[in-house]
Order: sequence, then C-alpha cells, then structure tokens
Amino acid sequence: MILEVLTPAFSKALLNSLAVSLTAGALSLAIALPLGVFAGLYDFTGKKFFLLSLVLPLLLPSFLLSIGLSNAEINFGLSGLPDFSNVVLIHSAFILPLVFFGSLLSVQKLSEGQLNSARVFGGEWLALVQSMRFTFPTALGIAAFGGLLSLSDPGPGQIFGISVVASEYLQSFSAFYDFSLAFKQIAVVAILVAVLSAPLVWWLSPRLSNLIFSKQHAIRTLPKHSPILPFAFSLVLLVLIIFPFVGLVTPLLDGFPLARAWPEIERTFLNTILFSGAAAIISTSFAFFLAYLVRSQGRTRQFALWLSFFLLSLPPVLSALGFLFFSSQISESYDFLLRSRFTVILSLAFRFLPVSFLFLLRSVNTVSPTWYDSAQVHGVPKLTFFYRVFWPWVRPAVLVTLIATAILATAEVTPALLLRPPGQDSLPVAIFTVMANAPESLVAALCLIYFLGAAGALFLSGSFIRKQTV
Amino acid sequence: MTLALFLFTIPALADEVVVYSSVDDVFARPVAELFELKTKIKVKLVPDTEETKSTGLLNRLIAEKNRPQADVFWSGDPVRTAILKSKGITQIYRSPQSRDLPKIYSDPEGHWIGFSARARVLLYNKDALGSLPKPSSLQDLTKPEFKGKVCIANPLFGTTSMHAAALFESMGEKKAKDFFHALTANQVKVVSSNGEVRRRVSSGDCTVGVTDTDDAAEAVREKKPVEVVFPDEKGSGTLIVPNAVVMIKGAPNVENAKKFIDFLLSPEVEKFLAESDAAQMPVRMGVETPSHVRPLNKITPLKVNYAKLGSRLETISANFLKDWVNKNTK
Repeated sequence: MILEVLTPAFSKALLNSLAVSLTAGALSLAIALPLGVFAGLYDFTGKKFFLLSLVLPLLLPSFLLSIGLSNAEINFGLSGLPDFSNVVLIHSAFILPLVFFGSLLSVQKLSEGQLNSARVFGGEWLALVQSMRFTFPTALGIAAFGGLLSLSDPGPGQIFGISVVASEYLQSFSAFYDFSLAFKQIAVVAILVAVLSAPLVWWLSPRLSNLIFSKQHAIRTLPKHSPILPFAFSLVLLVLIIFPFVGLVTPLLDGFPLARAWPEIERTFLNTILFSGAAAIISTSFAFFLAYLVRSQGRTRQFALWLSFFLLSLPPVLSALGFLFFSSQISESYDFLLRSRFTVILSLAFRFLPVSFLFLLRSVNTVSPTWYDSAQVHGVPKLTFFYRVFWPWVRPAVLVTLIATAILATAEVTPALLLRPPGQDSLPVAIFTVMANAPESLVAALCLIYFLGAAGALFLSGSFIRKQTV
Repeated sequence: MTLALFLFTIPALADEVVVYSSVDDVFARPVAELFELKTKIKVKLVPDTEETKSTGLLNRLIAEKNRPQADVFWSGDPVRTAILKSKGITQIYRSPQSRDLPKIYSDPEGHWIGFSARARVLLYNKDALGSLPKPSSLQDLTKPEFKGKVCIANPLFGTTSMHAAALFESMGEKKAKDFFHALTANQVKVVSSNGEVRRRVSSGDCTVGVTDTDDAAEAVREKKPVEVVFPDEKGSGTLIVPNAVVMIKGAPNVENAKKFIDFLLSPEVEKFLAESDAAQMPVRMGVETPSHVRPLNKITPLKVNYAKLGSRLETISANFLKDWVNKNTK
C-alpha cells in the first residue's frame, strides 16, 4: 500500500508538508516561547487584551486568513513574497497561540523563590535564560505537535499554489473520484503521524502531564516591564492577524453591502450557533467524563493523551466521509442521527473531543487529593461531594472548555460542508460557498460580521469567566 | 429530548425538492427562490463552490448512491454530470422543455440536458499589459512576451479541467500536450480556482488569465482595469460551457424533481440567468439577452463532442494532467 501511494507527486507533497510543518513549528517556537515566558514573568500594559487577541487566529478558517494575506500582499505591493513563506506564515498563526499559552502555563510553575534565586545569582538576564530553559522542552513539544496538525489542512497550500499532502487527498477525491486511493493516502499519512508522534508524545507526556497535572500555581507578584513587550505583541498581532484581516476587508472601502449580507446572516445564524454550541456541549460533557475517569490512572492517562494527539492530527474529511458513507448503507430510521443537523454536531464534537479532554484533564487534576480523603473520612456521599466541592471548583474550567470548543468548532468548515442536511448552512459554509463568485465586498462583509461575532463572543466570555473565577 | 429532536432533525416536507448544485450559490439561489415563488415547492439547495473543487457535492452524491438525498444535480458544466452518469447515479428524464434546446449540449441518451452557457475567455489587465499586444488566442499565452505573466486555474478541477479535455478532443493529443508543455516553458502560474485567476488579473499580479465569463463579468462589474477576450475567434473558436442538469437515480421526490428540471430548462430561466450577475448566454434561439451578454450566435464555438468530454477528462487527468500540475506547482 505504501509503495502504491508514494508516487513522485505524493512524495513531493509529503516533503513540502513536512517542510512547512517544520518551518512553521520552528518559527512559532522562536516567537512564542520568549513571548510566553515574558508574559508569565512580567506584567505590562494591555496584557489581558494581548493574551485574548492571540487566540483570534484560531477563530478564522485558515482559507480566509490565506485569502486575506494574499489580498493584503497584492494591495501593499508585496506579491513577490515566496509562496512557501506565505503558507508557513498562515500555519504559524495557528501554531503560535498553542506554543504561547503552553509556555505561559509552563513558566508559571516556577516559584517566586526560584526566580529570585536566579536574580540574586545572575541578575534579571539569568532569570530569563533559566525560565526559557525550563519552558523550552514543553514549548518545543507543542510546536512540533502544532506542526503535525498542519498536515491535515489543505487551505493555505491550495491558495498559494504549494503542493501539500492534504491537497493530494482532495485531488484523489475530487479529480479522480478514487475514494480507495484517498483513504490509502490518508492511512499512510496517519501512520507517519503515529510514528512521528509516538516518541514525541512519549517525550512530551511527562512534561505535559507535569503542566496539566500541576496541583497549584506558584503565586507570584509580577514586576512591570518596559513598553517593549506591548510593542512585541503588537508586532506579532500586526503580522498574524491585522495584515491578513486588512486584506480580507479592504473591498469594504467601496461600501458595506448590508442589504445583501443580512439575508445570509439571517439564514445561517441559528445553524451557526446550534452546530458549534451543541458540539461544544457534547464534546465538553464527554471529555469531562473521560477526564474524571482517567484522572488518577497514569498509564491510561498517558495513552489517552497520545490518542488525543493522534486523533487531532487526522484530517476532518475522513470522519465526515465515513459518516456519509455509513448513513447511506443503513436504514432510513437512523436518519435522525446520521442525516440531520445532529450528524454535523456529532462530527464536530468528535473532532474537538481531544481538545476538550486536554483542557479538562488539567482542571480535574487541580482538585487536591486531600479533599477526597477528607470527604471520605467524614462519610460525605460521593454525589454531595461532587455537587458541593468538585463541581464549583472545576466549573470555570468547564466554561472555558465549552467556549474554546465552540469557537474552534465554528471555524471548522469541513464537517458542516459535507454533512449538513439540505438547506441547513452555517455562516462559515455560506462564506465558503459564495466566495468564488460573489462581489468581493459581500464576501468581505460576511467575513467581518463573522469575525466580529466570534471575537465579541471571545472577549465577553473572557470577562464572564474572570467574574466566575473571582 | 423532544426539544433536541426538534432542533436537530429537519422533517421532510411533501412539497420539496433537494437540489445539489455546483453552480455558485449567488447565481443558483435566486433561481431556486423564483421556483419556490411560482410553484410553492420548497427548494432545499445544497450549493458547492469552485474553491472546494466540487469535493463536497460530487463525493456526497457518490457516497450517497445507495440511498440518495438529492433529487436533482444542477452542474455548472456537463463533464460532472457525465461522470455521474458513468457511475450509474443518474436517470433518464426527457423534459418537454428540452425540445427546443440545441442537442449538441445534451447527453444523446437523455441523462443530462445542457442549457444556459458560459464561455472560457481571456481576461487581461489593461494597466499591466501596457504596450504589449492584446492577447487574442490561447496560443498567445505561450509567447515570450507573456512569460511569467499568465495565470490559469488548476486543470484537474472545475471548468478548467473541462477546457483541458476539450483541447485534447479538438487539437488531438500531441498538439494539446505541446500546448501545455509550452505553457510550462512560459512559466504559467497555476492557481487554485477561476475566481483566483480573476482576483490576480484584477490586481495586476498576473497580466492575463484564462477564466469563465461569469468571473470576468464580476471583475468588469467591480470596475477593475480589465478587458475580456473571446479567444480564437478567427481560429478554432471559444469553448462554450453549458450548465447541465440531471435527475438522480432513486431521487426521493421524483415529481418535484421533474418540475424543477422543467423550470430550469425554461426560456424564463435562460433569460433570468442572462440578466443576472451570472451573465450567462442562453443556448436556446430567440431568448432576449442584455447588451452586456454576448449572444451565442456571435461567438465562434470550439467544436467538441460534449458527450465525450467526461471520459476524455478521466483519461487525461490520470495520464497527463496530474503530472503536468505536479510540474507546475511548487
């Protein structure tokens, strides 16, 4: 099977994909590691805003950012930039936030005492260097994992004309209608991902477990830092978000076509909320249950982590086509499950289950074992312990997970595109289906509305969660 | 639970028709709404997009073959419908509305019927062209003055794939291959879609590109510095790309599917599509066309057998185009 799949074209695409993954991972690591460490060590003006803003690239489907970047480069006379670097830049926009938040969480584990010792011994510089050394393995692992995730995304490669493996699947599906070849190609890449991710996860798991299962954060007072940090964050946001976004919405300078955009919003609003909201609820509930089950079982937890990484790196088109094929083989009495909006929801929930699981595993493990012991000693029923102690403690994290999963699910187009019941579009699907031939201003208006809605939800949730936590 | 079932499941209505369409949503939806208005039959439209390379719909139709959800597939070109026919997914329907449509754009066995058409045109940027001669033929794209300045969409997909099949059909295999090799030598840029060709030519990133009339019309409407050329008017002719419609084998709503197909093939829809932003050319004689749409009888058409293009494309995709695309992408 491997020899059948490894044609010169596929091998070239595979090498390109690996080169993109590697470069995007390295670039994200080079930028996000110091930024994460700085953000963990110091306070600075606008910190909360910058932290939330770094999540913004995750809200947009990659093809929209790619089109935006391409437009912006043409508008600003930069269209001669190499296509490879454009593809790397778009993938970095998605990997960078992962590495950043991983580094931030990691460096927060250092106690004030540890940092002060470094400061006394070698000044602020040594404290920084030691913090980076401490954070580096975790950040490196997350960057490598982010690089692997980019293998399943064909969008940027297609827009910028770089041959990548995910485009090869699409060609097999849609130019040759050869499902068998496409599945074999996916299987070869899945094997490769499994082989590459196994040592990575083996190496990363203890570090990630350490990060995920830390019982408490080191509480520190953060010193204020010079304006260089807001400047650095602004620069990253400018390149990763603002520049492509300007390219996306430039056509609105000729006028905002609200009359044409509004019917699209009206038609898709309910499904957009329903698909992402219900997927987030199902994914979070199931992940919560799983995380609770494996919280104290070392090997199962390790395996669950590996499985999460592996599942996340598989292309979403795989499960969507599986659903499609399966639904046409069985009786129509199951259509309410396999040919309804629920199918889209289920597919999205399955896609983001590993993300919810990773989020919740951390939260579940912050419940101190002494609380369980005390409850047991005093004969508190398990249900009462759950409602009175456990749930109030983990509730903010569950909310964060719910919102994060909903946001990621909104930006994932493939399951909705392939599985939506006739007449049931979501807004990202509508954007996807009109963008080829609609006036540029209409596409720009829809993108802007979608982006503002998602960003608004993100910022509102951020402030709601802060209140809940307080 | 009841609320969940209500929210998730979409009850099938007696008076509905499910239409999968690879025609762009902005053009297909108004036609579907017009049909609803006239017949009170609800159209559940599932549009596709050029950007997805018809991945969704054709694969969905193939995957759903045993128990289809779609009643009708309205394709932007006849090649996709021919492929569905070859896979046994279509059924014969001879619409009464097809009697006065030209037979050359339809399947001789009655599986698919062609109607309103687009054409494959050259779109050039006047500012970027400067003092260079205006391109008038596809062969001009291989000339040294256009080296590195030409864009085409990936010929494995969409109407560009049909165009490639038509060139092999009309020029013969050797000449067609030579033409594609000459494009490679002239450093042609292979981009993701015809929409992307429009975007790049409009911005001047490419001087000239090959695209469809609806994309070109959009660029003109947006007042980009572009002009449209119907290539090879004094030679082999311009490729005409008719829409095509098929009834899906095992369609759940056969009667409504027939009504929708009859409506789609009517002179009224041909006129509607000509007057809309799609700027499509009616293939039926005598249908009024607005001034910005060139009537079909004013175009020299490339002579091809449309019924053979599907199988031709399947052959050249695997044997030639795949390698060619591989050579021309990084």
